[in-house]
Amino acid sequence: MKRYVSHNGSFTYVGKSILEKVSGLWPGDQSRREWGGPFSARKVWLAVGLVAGILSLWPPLRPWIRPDGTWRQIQASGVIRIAIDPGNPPFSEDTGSGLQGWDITLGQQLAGLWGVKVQWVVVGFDGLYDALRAGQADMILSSLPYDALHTEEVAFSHPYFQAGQRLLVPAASPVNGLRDLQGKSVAVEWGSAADAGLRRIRQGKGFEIQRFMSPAEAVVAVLEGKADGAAVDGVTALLISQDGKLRIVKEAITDEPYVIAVGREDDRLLLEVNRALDRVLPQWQKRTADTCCIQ
Amino acid sequence: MLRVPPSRHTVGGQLALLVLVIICWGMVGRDPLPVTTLGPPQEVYTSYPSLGVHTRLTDEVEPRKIKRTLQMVRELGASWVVEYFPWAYAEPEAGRYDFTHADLLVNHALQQGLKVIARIDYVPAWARPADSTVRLLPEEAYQRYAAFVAVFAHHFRGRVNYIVVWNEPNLVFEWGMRPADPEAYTRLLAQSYKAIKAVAPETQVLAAGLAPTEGDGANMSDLEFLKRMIMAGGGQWMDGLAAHAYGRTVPATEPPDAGRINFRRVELYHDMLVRAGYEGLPLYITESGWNDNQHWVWAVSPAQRIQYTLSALQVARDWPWCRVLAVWVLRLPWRTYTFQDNFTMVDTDFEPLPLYLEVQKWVGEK
Repeated sequence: MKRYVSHNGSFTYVGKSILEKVSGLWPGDQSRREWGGPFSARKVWLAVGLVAGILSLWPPLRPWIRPDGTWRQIQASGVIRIAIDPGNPPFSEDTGSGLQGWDITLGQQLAGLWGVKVQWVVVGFDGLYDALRAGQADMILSSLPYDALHTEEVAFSHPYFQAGQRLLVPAASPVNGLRDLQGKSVAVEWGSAADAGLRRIRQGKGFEIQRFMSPAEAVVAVLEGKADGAAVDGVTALLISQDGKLRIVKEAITDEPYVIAVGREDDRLLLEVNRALDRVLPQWQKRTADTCCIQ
Repeated sequence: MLRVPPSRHTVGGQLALLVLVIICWGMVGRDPLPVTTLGPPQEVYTSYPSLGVHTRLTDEVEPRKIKRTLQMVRELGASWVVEYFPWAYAEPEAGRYDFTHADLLVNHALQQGLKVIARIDYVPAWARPADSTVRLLPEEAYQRYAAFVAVFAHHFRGRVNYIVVWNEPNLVFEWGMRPADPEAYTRLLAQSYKAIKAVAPETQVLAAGLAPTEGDGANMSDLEFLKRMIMAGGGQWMDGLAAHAYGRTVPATEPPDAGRINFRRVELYHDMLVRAGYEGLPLYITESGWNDNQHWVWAVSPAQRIQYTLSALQVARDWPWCRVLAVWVLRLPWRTYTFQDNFTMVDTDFEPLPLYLEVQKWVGEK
């Protein structure tokens, strides 16, 4: 221990510790004298405040330190308002007697976990983001593709469905990834997004593209052994793979994940959505289809 | 008494120094941002000189993207590019003109060997009533629009030789949420025609492309609108008629019928002009195409979209009165995730979609 004498004659003791060295980094002895030495209560409180301030800015902790108003409102009212465009079966459709579809099921499962009820806010696809911005809805759950252009105003959840173009192969096929397509033939609907995706990845992979007038014809070509695989969109692939004759290759041809959107400041709601998705997705997948479509 | 010399450095100063060092470190070794030049002049090699595409560069900021878009028009084998030039962008205040962006894309288009058709509308706030739609042009402001298109024609004289006056005025939406009014539109066309010809007589003034529709109350059938335009004397105030030829869900070969919306409906426009004594007026199809969004009511399958488009090229070849067949739309600056994406020929990241490649191949082979 060393003893220093401050400018007003009082004594300050400093031990030879890490703290001493750290406090020694504090610039200016004028400051040191005014603050009454490195172990003073004021300094300790300042340090605590500084650390707390920094931690409060750390995104993972923000929802706990400052829960957003939307989440509080959902909890208080017992209702979550979900924006949806009911025009995209099998994810959502208005059957006349109510909304049905995979998104409807997922929304109800999420709400069930939180102990609240769902109020569906029906809007056209063009109006989904506006509904969120205008406060008419708490979140969007409507087979919504991730869109980086909107990340300044909304926050997106983890993906819950891979809607990109997928490769279907016979159940016993040795093809387990796009690299295995060397020397193979892939059937596809002429001009479709799958066709575009295959043309894009074709270089260097050495496979042949067989074009048909519809996705159904492309799938039949595989079933009849005329092609080694068929490229179709994620939903079609999911539906066709149900009978077990064809399976979906895990590696997608194009990536188009469906996500849930919440307000940019709704950190707590986003956290709860992601946690809930982790819990309900396996159950939801069983109700919708094979788990292989989720990545 | 121990005296420690006071430090000359403050926390703020040290942090600022640290930030500066980090910034400098990040900049070391980085290439400067590339400058997009016009590049050497190009020519369009095509077997189909009347082929065009409508681009959507109005909201495209980056010069490299503008250049790449127009390169892809040329590489498609299209000689014509149709582009939208909003009046409000170029004359944000009355009498103050800014053609910076318009110059950029026109110069790039010319460098690629393309001919430009300019569609002009979008009313600036100063030329319309407060809180009105950007498509509302009151009759008392017709002269302001005419003055602007004249300035545009003068500024781009020798570079842009085709100007389309307004867009789809037979629709309530495009006519400022008012019922369609062919006689009023004809007066706008006449004033614009006179103003343009006064400063650039060689510039071709095209009457607006009409929206193909049967009409439903306030929206007027395109055929009815054109008929009344001609009766109001519209034929003398145009050098050609712009036209929109969408095929909806039927093949390009389906014969024209007043009760059907199909690609060959434009033949009815031509017949009407001929009957009115304007057989010399050509048509410029500034928008056409099919859509393959499975969730849209007027969509076809992707394969049909390609088939019908190629078939349309074949059909229009036999129309001597058709100067241009432009497809809507080459590319959008960003994905909309709506049916609008399914009109494009090139993805937002400039990847050619199958329709682009098939048209390019067809034009190259014929």
